[in-house]
Amino acid sequence: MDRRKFLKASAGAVAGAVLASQLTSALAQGGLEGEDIANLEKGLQQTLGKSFKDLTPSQQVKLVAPTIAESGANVPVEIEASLPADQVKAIHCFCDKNANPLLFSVVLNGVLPYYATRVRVAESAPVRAVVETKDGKFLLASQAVRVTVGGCG
Amino acid sequence: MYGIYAWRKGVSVTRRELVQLLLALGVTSPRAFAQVLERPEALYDLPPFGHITLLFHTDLHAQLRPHYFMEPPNLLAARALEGRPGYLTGEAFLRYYGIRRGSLEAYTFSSVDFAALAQRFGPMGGGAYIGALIKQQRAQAGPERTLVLDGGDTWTNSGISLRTRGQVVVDWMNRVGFDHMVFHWEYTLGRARVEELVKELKAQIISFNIVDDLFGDPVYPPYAIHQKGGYTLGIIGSTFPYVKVSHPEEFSEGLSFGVRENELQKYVDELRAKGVDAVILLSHNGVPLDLALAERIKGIDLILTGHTHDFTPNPIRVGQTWLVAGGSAGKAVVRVDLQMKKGGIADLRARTLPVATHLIKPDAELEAFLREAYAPHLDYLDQVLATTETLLYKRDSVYSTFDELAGRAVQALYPEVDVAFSTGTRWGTTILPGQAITMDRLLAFTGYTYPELYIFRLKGERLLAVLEDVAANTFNPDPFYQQGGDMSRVYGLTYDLAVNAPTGQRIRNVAIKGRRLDPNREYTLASFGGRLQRSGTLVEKHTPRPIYDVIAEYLRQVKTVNIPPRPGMRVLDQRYVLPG
Repeated sequence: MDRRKFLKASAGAVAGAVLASQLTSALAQGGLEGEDIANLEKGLQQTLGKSFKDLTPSQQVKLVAPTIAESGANVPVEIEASLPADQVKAIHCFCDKNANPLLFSVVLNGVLPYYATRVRVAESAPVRAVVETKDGKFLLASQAVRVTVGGCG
Repeated sequence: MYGIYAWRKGVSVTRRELVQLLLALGVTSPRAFAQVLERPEALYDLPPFGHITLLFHTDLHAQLRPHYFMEPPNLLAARALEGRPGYLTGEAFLRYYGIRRGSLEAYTFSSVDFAALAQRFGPMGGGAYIGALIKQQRAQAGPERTLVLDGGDTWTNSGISLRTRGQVVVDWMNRVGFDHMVFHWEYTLGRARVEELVKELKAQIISFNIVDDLFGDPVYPPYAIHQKGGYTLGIIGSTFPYVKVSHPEEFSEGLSFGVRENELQKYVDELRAKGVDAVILLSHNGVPLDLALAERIKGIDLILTGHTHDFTPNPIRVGQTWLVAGGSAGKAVVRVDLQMKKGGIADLRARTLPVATHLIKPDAELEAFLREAYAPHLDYLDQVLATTETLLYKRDSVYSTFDELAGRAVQALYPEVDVAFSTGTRWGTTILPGQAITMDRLLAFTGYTYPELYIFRLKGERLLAVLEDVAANTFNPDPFYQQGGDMSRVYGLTYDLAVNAPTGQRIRNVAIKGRRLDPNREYTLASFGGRLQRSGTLVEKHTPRPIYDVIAEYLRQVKTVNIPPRPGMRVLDQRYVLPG
């Protein structure tokens, strides 16, 4: 390789190192890993008397949970609603694949709409945070949590 | 400063090859060029740049002797990630970074022409050479403006580490002089031993995500602040998020890890509020996860990342964040020079410097230290077990000839085993055709602190679920759902792999010993280095033995091995390349 060719090649390499940030959008499509709406439906009906289609996905609900759990028996979850305290009636949490999909329900009585605890996730499945408002809306945030068996790191 | 490198005699690098190497390393001005031709070691002479120098080394896996290490022929990825750093390998890697075939860089960073280039350039790394390069670079840049950082996976996975429970590596680090470190495999020494070694380590551990599992408080300082070259740097440490998932839990009792992106953002904001000029993340997350994190966390200027063993000959930019990876196995030291401005990095020069043993003169003090440290163990480590006629390598997404060897050994000693699993770990070494397989080299592949080989029974449907689970960890299109290892290797089992299929449908047409998998039948499996055996029922007549003893016994029996790469799986939706 002569010097001129090289300079061209190296200039290309340097320019090529900037990455477009398209990844997030590429991932936004498709369902969540381990989704099981039929099973979730049981828990929703029993607890809320509602169906999955009655829930409204909302940016006002923040759900924090690990993407890969350290142990399925002990998964930290944190749910927060960015709504005034007096508008929120309760926070509910479900997991699609648990035999009993309801993880917990907390009635708030006017305290800040925030709750953090640990839950059991039986196998890789979405965790659902449902915030029930006083005017009868059910706001939803979901996140898939992996519970891995192999662990051949 | 100049005289410390020697152009070693007997290594045949032609002038032409040298020119290619220099070009690839970015030596361009005629004057610099002429200088380097006379003294090839001058590729390590970098002109001054900026205000602060970071020397980054990571994922040594306790390989304190020079050795060969071939990069993966394949890094299979879901379509959304294909062709991105973290999934670049072989010729695609050379094209992406503009590296010439046949150069030292091509030899260091890719698997292309590996066996031939290994003859030409010789072994890489080793504690005395890495240390010499770090010391020389620190002296060249100016010790007062330089920080030396270790990205973790440093203390374990070699013979000498096993024999001394990590002691020799810590002693080596103290002699080289590191400033900060983060962890991953270190925890497989056990939490108590890690804490013992931390007391001896002169470097300071920083990690925001090693926390008390009850209260969530960090066990080590989450970050450190340094005044260098008239500017203030905040360095946040991030340990591997999945220590607990990847290894037996008892090694890290009472601790919790995790990506913890909200907390990371909090620490970045905290440092910004203190008025640091730049925030650096010293990370063991790996390239894919750190690229994804860089898109979400605001305010990190530079990420230095380990774990996935990637090289980034040119730094990567995501938004306002730079990312540089450090490779593995002692093959390179990364030097990053920062030109600072108030409140940020104005410009940056990153060079991945190969630890080429034919260009670097080993540090005499380190060489003497290592000679002494190894002396009591030579009878054990250097015993020759067999000779290989073919290339024994480890790194690849799904298959390697070393894992094939492990499978053959297990099958020979336990004939009732239907399927032998081998780990998808990314560390190891490479043994060239004609070389001896010594205990030390075997331990470079299998140096686990939990080496037991378990024989257990598992139903066919569970076996399939396990394969799917590992495939989901390896090939998930979202890096937040990847653990960062490679796919488990299976001996005695064949399958088709659809990388892009949804979870639960990646593994197809599974056959065991040529017969279709029966979901209801119980199979006899063997595995080590993981938690797989917990899913099944142990076969009690077999007391678990260390995998390296099993392979050593087999090697002594056969004396010679010949393993051309013949994977038992077929990749349906990606090109799969065999080395050689």
